[in-house]
Amino acid sequence: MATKTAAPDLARTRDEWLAVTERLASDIEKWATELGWAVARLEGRTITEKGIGSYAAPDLRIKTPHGILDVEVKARRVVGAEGRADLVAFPSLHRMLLVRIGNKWLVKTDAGIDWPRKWGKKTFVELAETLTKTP
Amino acid sequence: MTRQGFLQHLRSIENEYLTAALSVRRLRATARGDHSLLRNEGLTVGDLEACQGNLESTYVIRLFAEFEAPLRLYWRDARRRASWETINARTLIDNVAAYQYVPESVRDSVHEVRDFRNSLVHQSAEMGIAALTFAQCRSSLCRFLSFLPFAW
Repeated sequence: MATKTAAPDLARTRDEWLAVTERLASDIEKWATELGWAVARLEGRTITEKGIGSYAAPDLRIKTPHGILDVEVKARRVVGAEGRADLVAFPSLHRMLLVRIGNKWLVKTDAGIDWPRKWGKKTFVELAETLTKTP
Repeated sequence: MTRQGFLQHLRSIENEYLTAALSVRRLRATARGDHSLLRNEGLTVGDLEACQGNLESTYVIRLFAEFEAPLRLYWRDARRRASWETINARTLIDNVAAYQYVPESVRDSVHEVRDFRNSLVHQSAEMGIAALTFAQCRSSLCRFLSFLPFAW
């Protein structure tokens, strides 16, 4: 029985993850656009995960007033979480993590320390500015 | 300590390996026409062939040892764990992966390299252990290190 239900479960996990990451990308796209920041969808990066298969990562590149910020989806199957996406500043490579736990995005520092504020537009703007300003 | 520094160090080991491989190939070509070249050093063609045959394995073992070093330093300095010297490699990798939210595929690739390294060290061709090239090993290990903090 387990083998019969495994495939639909994995397909559902994959579909849910694609929906979650697409929602994340479109939220960030909307917030950045409201601030007048240029946003581009980065195409061409494919993620392959065991049991989930391959999918196109809905990555973004944002031009903030202080520099470039990329949003990179890392994986659905992450040790200790149910997904991860990174906010990465260029060229400094400073980053913050968005970790999916309990159907919510939790913000963590690069070292895995909890960020004290909830994920949302205000936090996104604060992180984008801090990451791109830091040399 | 910076992540970038450790990544560059692993890449520099790849360059060392490529340099050594090139040198051995060139020496082999030269020694073919000048047998005294090896003989004068007390070496034989067999020694040179063994060197060439074991070169990639030797560097894979070295590469993995150099990969372990930053993980142990992370465990000691970023996580303040007294077990940093004694913790076994498998557990260390799993623990770092959990603290740093590493994708399972990245962690699993490192375990494949670890299994391959173990098979080389113990000279055992165990069933189910994939033979990997140096470049594959370097790529998997660097990818894992890229999930460490920027600095600690």
